[in-house]
Amino acid sequence: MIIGIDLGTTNSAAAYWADGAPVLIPNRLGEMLTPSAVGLADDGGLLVGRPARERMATHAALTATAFKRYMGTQHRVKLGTRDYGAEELSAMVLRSLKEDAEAHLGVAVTEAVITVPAYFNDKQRKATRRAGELAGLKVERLINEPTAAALAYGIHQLDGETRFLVFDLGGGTFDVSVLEIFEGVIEVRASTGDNRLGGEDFNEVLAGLMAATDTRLATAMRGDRQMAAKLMEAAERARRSLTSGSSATMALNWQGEQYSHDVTAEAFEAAAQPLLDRMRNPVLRALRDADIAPASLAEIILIGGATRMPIVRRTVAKMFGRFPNASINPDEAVALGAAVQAGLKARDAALKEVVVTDVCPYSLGVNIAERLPGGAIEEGIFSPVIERNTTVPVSRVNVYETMHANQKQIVLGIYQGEARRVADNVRIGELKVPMPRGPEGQPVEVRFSYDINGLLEVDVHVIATGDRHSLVIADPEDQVSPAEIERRRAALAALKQHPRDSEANRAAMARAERLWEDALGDERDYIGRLIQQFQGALATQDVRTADTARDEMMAALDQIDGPRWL
Amino acid sequence: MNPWVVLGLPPGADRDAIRRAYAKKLKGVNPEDDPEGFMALRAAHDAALEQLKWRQTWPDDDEDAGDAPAQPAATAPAFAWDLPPADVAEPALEPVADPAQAALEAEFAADQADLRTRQQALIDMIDGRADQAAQHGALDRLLAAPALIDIMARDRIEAWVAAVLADRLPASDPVIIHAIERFGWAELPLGQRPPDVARLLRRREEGEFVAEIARRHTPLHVGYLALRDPPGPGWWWHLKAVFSAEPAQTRQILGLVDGPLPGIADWLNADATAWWRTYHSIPRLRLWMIVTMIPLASLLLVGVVAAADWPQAAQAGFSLLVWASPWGLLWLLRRRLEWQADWDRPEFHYAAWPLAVLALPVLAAAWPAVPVLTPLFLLPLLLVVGWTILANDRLQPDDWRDLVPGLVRSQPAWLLLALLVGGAPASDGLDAVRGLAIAGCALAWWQAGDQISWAARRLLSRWGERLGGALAPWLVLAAGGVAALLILGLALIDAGLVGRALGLLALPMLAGLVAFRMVSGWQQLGPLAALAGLVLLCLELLSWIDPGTTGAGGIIAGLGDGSWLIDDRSGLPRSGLIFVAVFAVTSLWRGWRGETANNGSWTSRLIIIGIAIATVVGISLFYPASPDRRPGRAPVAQRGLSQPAKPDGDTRLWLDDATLMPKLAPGEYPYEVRLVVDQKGRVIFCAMARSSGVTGLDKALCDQLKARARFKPGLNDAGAPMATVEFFSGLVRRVAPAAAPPVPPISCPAATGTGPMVAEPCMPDRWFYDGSYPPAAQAAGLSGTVGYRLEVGLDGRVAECHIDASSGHASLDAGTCQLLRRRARFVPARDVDGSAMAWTYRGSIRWMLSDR
Repeated sequence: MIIGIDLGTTNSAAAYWADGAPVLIPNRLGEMLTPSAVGLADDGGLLVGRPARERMATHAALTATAFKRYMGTQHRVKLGTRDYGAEELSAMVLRSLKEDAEAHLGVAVTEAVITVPAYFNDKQRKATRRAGELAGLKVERLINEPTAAALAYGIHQLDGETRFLVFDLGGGTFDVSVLEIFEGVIEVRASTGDNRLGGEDFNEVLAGLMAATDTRLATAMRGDRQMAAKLMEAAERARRSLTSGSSATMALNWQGEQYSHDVTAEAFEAAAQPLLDRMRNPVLRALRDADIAPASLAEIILIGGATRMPIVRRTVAKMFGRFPNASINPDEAVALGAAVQAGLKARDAALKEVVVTDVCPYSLGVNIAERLPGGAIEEGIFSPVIERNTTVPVSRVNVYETMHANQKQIVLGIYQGEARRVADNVRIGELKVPMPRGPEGQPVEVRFSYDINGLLEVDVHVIATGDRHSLVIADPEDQVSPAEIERRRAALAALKQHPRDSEANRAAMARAERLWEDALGDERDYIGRLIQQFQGALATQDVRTADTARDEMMAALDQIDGPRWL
Repeated sequence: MNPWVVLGLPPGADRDAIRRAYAKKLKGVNPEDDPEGFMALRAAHDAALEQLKWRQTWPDDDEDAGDAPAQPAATAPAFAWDLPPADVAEPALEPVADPAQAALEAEFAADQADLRTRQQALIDMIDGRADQAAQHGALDRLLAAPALIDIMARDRIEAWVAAVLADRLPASDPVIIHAIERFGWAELPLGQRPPDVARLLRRREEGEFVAEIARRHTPLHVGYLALRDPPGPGWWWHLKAVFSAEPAQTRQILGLVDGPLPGIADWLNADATAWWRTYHSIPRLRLWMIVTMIPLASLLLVGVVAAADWPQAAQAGFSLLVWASPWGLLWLLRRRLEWQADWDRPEFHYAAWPLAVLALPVLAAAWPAVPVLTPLFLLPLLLVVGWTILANDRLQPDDWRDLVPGLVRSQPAWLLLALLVGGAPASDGLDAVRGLAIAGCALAWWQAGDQISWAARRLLSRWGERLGGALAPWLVLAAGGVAALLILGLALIDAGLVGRALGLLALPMLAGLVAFRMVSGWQQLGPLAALAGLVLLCLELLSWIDPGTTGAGGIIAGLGDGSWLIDDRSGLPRSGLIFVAVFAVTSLWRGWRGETANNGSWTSRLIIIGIAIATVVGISLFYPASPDRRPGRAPVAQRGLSQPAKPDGDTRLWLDDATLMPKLAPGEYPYEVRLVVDQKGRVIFCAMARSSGVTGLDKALCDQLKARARFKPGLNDAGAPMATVEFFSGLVRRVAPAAAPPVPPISCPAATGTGPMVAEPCMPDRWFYDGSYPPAAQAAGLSGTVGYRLEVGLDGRVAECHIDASSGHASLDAGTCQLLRRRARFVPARDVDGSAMAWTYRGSIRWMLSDR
């Protein structure tokens, strides 16, 4: 069984392909979305998903969220006494999804298609793949998120010939893809994006608005992790309230003081204008690269939780002069698309006549030097080998020459990006090629092969000697041996896990505790009593009593807290 | 690969057919299973679409279309860059009942007018040459226009802004970078850049380039300054051009102006640009020619001065002419010789010359008599530094086959070596050892120079970036100090004042100098002039400390007498000639290799080589070397009335052995000198053909020979007296003085008797003995009779000694008294009471030197 997994910045989801349609897999709490949060319980046990997410505000030091942003970097998050890399934290989320799928489907799940933002580079993709391996999943494919979302949409449009644009504003990344469907071929024409733009940035704008009202908040926001987490959470709530209302109140209780700030939709829109402006260039670039006029697009499809914001919808509507398609659940489309891909991968009969082609969303190339007129040498120029938005898999060759007579070696820096100077692009590896002696101008063939998973292979052929060299990336993380992966997997497995059926109770408890901390006065007493009652019910060890008590408490909390949004 | 075959289509099928065929074939080569097949299919698909696009763009070229008629160019580009926004119709929105849609449309209409005012505001700002902030603000306000949220409008405004900015270029400079960033133009692939955008991007590049060269210590900074400032007086600019990197750098910058970055011209002064263009249009002598000409011309002219028996004043005037001559030559040659291709700063050998200087202690150790710090050394050292800085040599030696050209190319380093060797080996039997040492040093510094240059460049480039600005003046001062210390160290080595080891102190300083060179890049020869000044200053100081060394004044004074032309030991003309010879070989070599980049045209090269050969031959004829150095050379046949010169008088009297060098250590000192004898038979020039091995002795020999040697001048074929070169050899012997004979003891008998008595000399025959001859007088060969008077004290010793009758030689008189005071003893005189009393004693001694 291959499942499709949307490993998101804020939320993750899993789905599978069954009977000609993708189906979402509910988690142990019966919900379709599992927050991408990992935490340690007070007893040192591991919490994944909503229980961890609920504890973010109250136990920031023991909880990690939004770690996808650190994927492929050496950044480590400290939880309790140990620190974890983004790979390991993602692996915990993936393992939780895998267990949910196994419980739901009743079969062992060992393979998965995992989605990544289109703008993930080679390192980030490899890290995602390793996270899957750490979770005990064979990663059959890495698929770009907008492509997945498009699949979820396009799989129902296979008969016609259509073009559409997928506008994916997730928690941390922004992707735009232009697709064309014809003759059963789903072709991604162009993908662009901004991997530093997402819902979290809008939260920061709101948090900034609130912090601007009080200097104590502003200083605390920078220094105090706990405080920052609370503020971000208040911002997240306010942002969600603004989805339906015209104003929202941000409130938080910190060090015994109650802070509150009213924010209107207009103020929010004005403050978020720079972010909205940043969406325009990727859209324009995608349309240009795809060579498709906006008027010929059949649909604009919004994906990603952040596109629920009215200001984003309004911006998109203004961009294209029409309203976008909102028929797809923006949170679930990516997981559904991943399931479609899993179906494709598994050669499902219903998908026999469907072929999906994707593109490489960024230019890949090498670092070269040029001799200027007059003989001076300009170094650090980016020479693309694979231009962005080339359909993958692709293999391209460029020929480069030595600069000096008797040059001993060529150091090929491998870069991703669009800037002319490599310093402004992302360095993804280096290859040192020894050269035979000879006059300047010795040619080498540099072949870039970009496979369907978005992983890059670089081959260099020294023509004079016939030597061939393949990329060995100097990053030690990329040379993780299978034994090392096994060891790390065992280390993760050794973390204490709570029984699956207690998760709902833990999540409810975490939520109640968070509200208790936020509330003051009578309200706090009331929540305290609710918690006492619930603990009494748990103490009876009777499942039905506990479930009833939990439902009652949740209903009561809903009245205080507003509807649940996690 | 024919794409049509792969797709199974007739050539020239339309887009839909291509897409359908592609889709159909795709089912068979799913990228999941058959990446290779997919890539081939995709390549065919892309190629077919590309061909289609060409066919649509150029319908006339469509000759092989066959049965498929070419489609008219129907597909307009998706994004029209050239439409001014005023002409653009609003996106056609379907009139629908949806009130939300209607509201949206109304908003569009309202926003449109607002957009136009903002566009006009931007144009006004630019045309009004508003400052950067104002222009930025106008652009930002334009881009914030609500109408531009529409993706199509935004696209059009992008083209409009590009056109407006490109159209108003110098005025719109302040806003370009901002616009490029706002629109992300830099990230457009090369093929997708509309002309206006490409123009703006190039403008930014030009601006960045100018900003870069406007920073101090950057490679083209000197050239930039020369082009930026209005030209000054013509003579001054010409002079500056000769001594600086300005010609090379301005040429490079002007090359960029004519080539990829024409807009640079906006930042340059038009008059200066025109001046430099004129300057470069005239064929011009290159610096290497100048530095070659100086020693060449000097050699020739000094030879004339030395040969002619001119009055002192004329010689002084002529030596001035010697130093002025290169400029005359320069002036002449500038009109004749072609200015050749550009050179740029050398990438190697920055470290070579300090390393070459480092080799000096080694060489000095191998050859103690090498005059490390001679005027001849200093002048070329400066040239070498200048040359090295301006040299153009990109070879990275890596192979033994590069060795020969590499060594020839690294002329400056070689030159220094040649200067040190001075032209010929000595006769101490250590030639092989010395040769090995020299070769080793050459190779080591040549290789190490490159390596150190590379490593230091890499290491220091970042460091220099950071410190370059603020610390540059201090670095210049530090480098000057290092250079001064370096020279002083060398001077100390040469003078032997503190010992050779002290010179090693210069080593760490050299490292600093190399570092400085890497960091800042001496762009001008100004620092070199400072260095030259320092050298002269150091020399002058040194000559005060140790009068034996030649000060700056001495160097300048010595320029006219030609003594620096010829190597003291070998008798061969040196440095300058070797300079020329190396250069000639280099030129030939590179010409043979077909490299014309650095050494001028064949014409200029031949002129230089011709001059070089003529000079070498001329000087060799003029100052023929000693016969034993040139075994193959037959004596010149004598015909007609010609006669060789002959010594006039007793040659033994020419040298006064006793006064040659009094403090010479015992031993035998064979020597051979080469004398230039003028038409009157006087020695006008003396140099060692074979050194005695003691610098002071060599000098004394030459001094005495010049003063006392007389010849009967040689006669030429016509019987007229002529100048000749004569050799004179001999041996200076110093014998260690024989062991001094024992000094006879002197004792006095006890006084006897009681009555008064005169002072009684005790053993007066022993007062003077064999070996008590006053040494100064003996060394001077003095003799004579000395009458003396002694005042005898109460204790019988000499209280005072007076000379009554001088021998005529003060040293003999003084020596006599000194001896007597020491040795004369008396039985004291007594008075009637029997107590001692003073007494006066007179005597005389005749001093004579035996013939021994």
